[in-house]
Amino acid sequence: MNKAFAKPQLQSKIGILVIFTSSFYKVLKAVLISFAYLLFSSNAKAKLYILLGFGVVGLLSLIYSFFYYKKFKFHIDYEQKEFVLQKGVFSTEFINIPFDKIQQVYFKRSIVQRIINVYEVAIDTAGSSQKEVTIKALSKEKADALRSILMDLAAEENTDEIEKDVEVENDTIHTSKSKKKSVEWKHQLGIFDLLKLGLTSNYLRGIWLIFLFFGTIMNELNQLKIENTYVEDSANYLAENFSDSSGIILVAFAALIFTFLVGIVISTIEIFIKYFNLTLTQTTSSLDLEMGLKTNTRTSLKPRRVQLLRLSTNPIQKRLDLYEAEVSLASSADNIQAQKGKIKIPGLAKEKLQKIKTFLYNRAEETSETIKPHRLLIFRRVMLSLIPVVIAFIPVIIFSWYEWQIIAPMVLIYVALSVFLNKKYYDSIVIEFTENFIIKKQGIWNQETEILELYKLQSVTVKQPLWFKKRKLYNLEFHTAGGDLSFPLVHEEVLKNLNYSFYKIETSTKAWM
Amino acid sequence: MDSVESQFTNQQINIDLLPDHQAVDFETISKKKQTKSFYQITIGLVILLAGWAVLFYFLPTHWSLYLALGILLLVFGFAYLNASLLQKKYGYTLREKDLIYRRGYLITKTTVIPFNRIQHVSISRGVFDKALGISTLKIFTAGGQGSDVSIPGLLPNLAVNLKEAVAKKLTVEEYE
Repeated sequence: MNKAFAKPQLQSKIGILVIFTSSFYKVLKAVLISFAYLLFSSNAKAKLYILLGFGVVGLLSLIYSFFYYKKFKFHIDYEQKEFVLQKGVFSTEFINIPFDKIQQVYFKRSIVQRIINVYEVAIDTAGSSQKEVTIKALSKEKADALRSILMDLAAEENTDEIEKDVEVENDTIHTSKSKKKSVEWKHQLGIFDLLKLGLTSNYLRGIWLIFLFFGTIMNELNQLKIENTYVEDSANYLAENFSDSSGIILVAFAALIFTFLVGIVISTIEIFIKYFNLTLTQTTSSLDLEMGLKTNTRTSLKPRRVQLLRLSTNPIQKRLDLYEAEVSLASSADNIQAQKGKIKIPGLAKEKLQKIKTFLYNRAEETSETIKPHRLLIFRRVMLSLIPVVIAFIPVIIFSWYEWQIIAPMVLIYVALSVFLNKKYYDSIVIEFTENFIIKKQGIWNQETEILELYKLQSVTVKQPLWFKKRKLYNLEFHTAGGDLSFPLVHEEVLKNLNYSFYKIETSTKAWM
Repeated sequence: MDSVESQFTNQQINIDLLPDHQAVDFETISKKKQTKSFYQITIGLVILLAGWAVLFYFLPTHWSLYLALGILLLVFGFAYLNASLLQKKYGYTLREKDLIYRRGYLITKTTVIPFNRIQHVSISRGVFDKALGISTLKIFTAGGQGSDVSIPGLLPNLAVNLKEAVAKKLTVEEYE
C-alpha cells in the first residue's frame, strides 16, 4: 500500500477560516447578553466600546486560529499502527489512536464548511476514556483518501485478530478486489417526503420545544431588565374582554389549537433541518448514510457495530408506508453520550426496512411464541400515573381551594383515561425469544419493535421487588453496548429462556463489536 | 457464508435441559460489610445530629425543629434496618462460563455476566475497607452502568483469588 499521510501534515489552508468562525462563535455565544444590550441600549458611547471589544476579540481569535492551525498536525504511523494527531497552541497534546480501536470514520459539514467546501473528518474510537477526534478542514480528495485508508487499516487490523469473523473477511476481500464498492440499493428523502414525515410525526416534541424557547427568551429578558409590557397588556386585555367562564374556555381552546399548529410547524422544520437530503446507500459491506441541513453528517454502518435495532411507526405513517429505523451503536457507555451512538433513519418504506434487516442480520426473520407480562402491569402503570395527581392534591386538600363537585369528575375522567390507555398499552406489549433474537414490541400510537441479536448481549439483570415474590414475577433487563432493553413483570417460567440466551452468548465466538 | 450457517443450524437444544441460572447456591459475603455500612450511616447521623443541635441551640424553639428530628431519626432508623436486611441478600457465584451476582432487599437484582463479555476486573479498597480488612471486586462490561457489578465485603485474598480466577477465564476465552 502506498504510504499516504505518513508525514505529519496540516489541514487545508482555508481551514483557518473554519477554526476562526467556530472559536469566534464560541466567544460570541458566551457574551450573547452584551450583544443584546448593544441592540437595545441607546447609549452611543457604550455601543462604541462594545463594538470595539468585539473587534479586539475577533482579532485575537483570528491570531489564535492561525497558531492553532499551524500547530495542528496529523499523520499515520504505519510502523506503530496508529493514527497520530498533535495539537494545542499553548501546550501540545498528542493523541494516538491504534488502528484496531478505530470504530468509524465519518464526515461532518457545518454551513461554513460547506461554503468554503471543506470536510470535517471525525474518527470514532472504541473505549470509554477516549472521545472522538476531529480534523476540522480537509479538501474532499484528502478527506476521502484519509477515510478509506483508515477504514481499511482498521478492518485489516481486526481481521488479524479475529479470524473467525466472516463479515470482516468478506469486507477486506471486497475492498481489495474493487476499490469502488458496488451500490446495491439507495434510499432518498425528497422535500415532499420530508413534508409528509413532518406532518405525521410526533408533535409533542415540537410543542415542548416552543415552551423551552419561550422559557429561555423570557428568562433572558428578565435578566436584562428590559420592560416587557406586551405580556401585561395582553393579560389585561384578556381579563377585560373574556372574563366569563365561556370566554375563558374559548380563549383556552384557541390557545390550545394555536400551540398545536405551531407544534406541527416546528416539528416539520426540525425534521427538515435534521434529515434534509437524507441518502442511504447500501454497498456490499456497509450502509452509508448522509443527511442534515445545518451540519451534514456522513456515517457508514457496519452490521458488526449495530447493537440494537428499533423500528417504529404510527398508524398514519403506516398507511403512508413510512417506517423509522433507529440503530444503536456501541457507544462510549456514558449516559450523557448515549444519544451520540443512536442513528435515526426515518421515512423508510416497508420493503427497504426489510432490506436493512436482512443486511444487518443476514438471516431470515424468526418468530416464536409471544410472551406477555402479567396483568398486574396495568394496575402498576395506573398507580404510577396517579402519583402526579396525588401530589397535586396535597395543597388542594390542605388549603381546600376548590369544590369537590368540580374536582371529582375531573379526577374520574383522568383515571378512566389512564385505565383505558394502559389497558391498550398492555395489549400491545409482547416479547419473543427466538433462536437468535430477542424481540420486544410495544406502543399504543407509536408502535415500536426492538430487535436484539442474542450474541450482542453483554449481561442480563433479573429484578424482583419484594411484593412480587409470592406471585413469582420478575422484571428483565438486557444490557447491550448500545443501551438496555427492559421488559416488565414476567412469570418465573419465562426465565428459562434466559438460560438459552446465556447458552447463546457463552458459545458465541463472533466478535460483538 | 456457509460456515456460519452450518455453525448454527446443527444444534437442537432443549431449553429445559440447559443449565439453570436460578438453580445455584450463592456464596455469602463477609459480615464486615454490614459493619462498614453501620459505620458509614452512624457518621452521617452524628454529623446531622450535630447540625440539628446547633440549630436547636441558636433558634427559638419551634415545632418544625422537632419534626425535623423525628424525620431524621426515622430515616436513619430505616437505613440501619435496610443495611442489616441487605446483608443476607448479597451473594455471588461462579459458574464455568459466567458469574452471577445478587443484591438488594426491597428489589432483589440478580445479574448474570458471561466471562466472554467481561472487559476488565479490578479490586478497590476504601478507608473503611482497609480498617475492616475487606475489599470490593469490580467487574466491568461494555453494557453500561446497569451491567457493571461491584461485589463488596470480600476478604482481601478471596478478592484477589476471584479476580485471578475471572482474569484467567478471560484469557482462556480469548485464546480459545
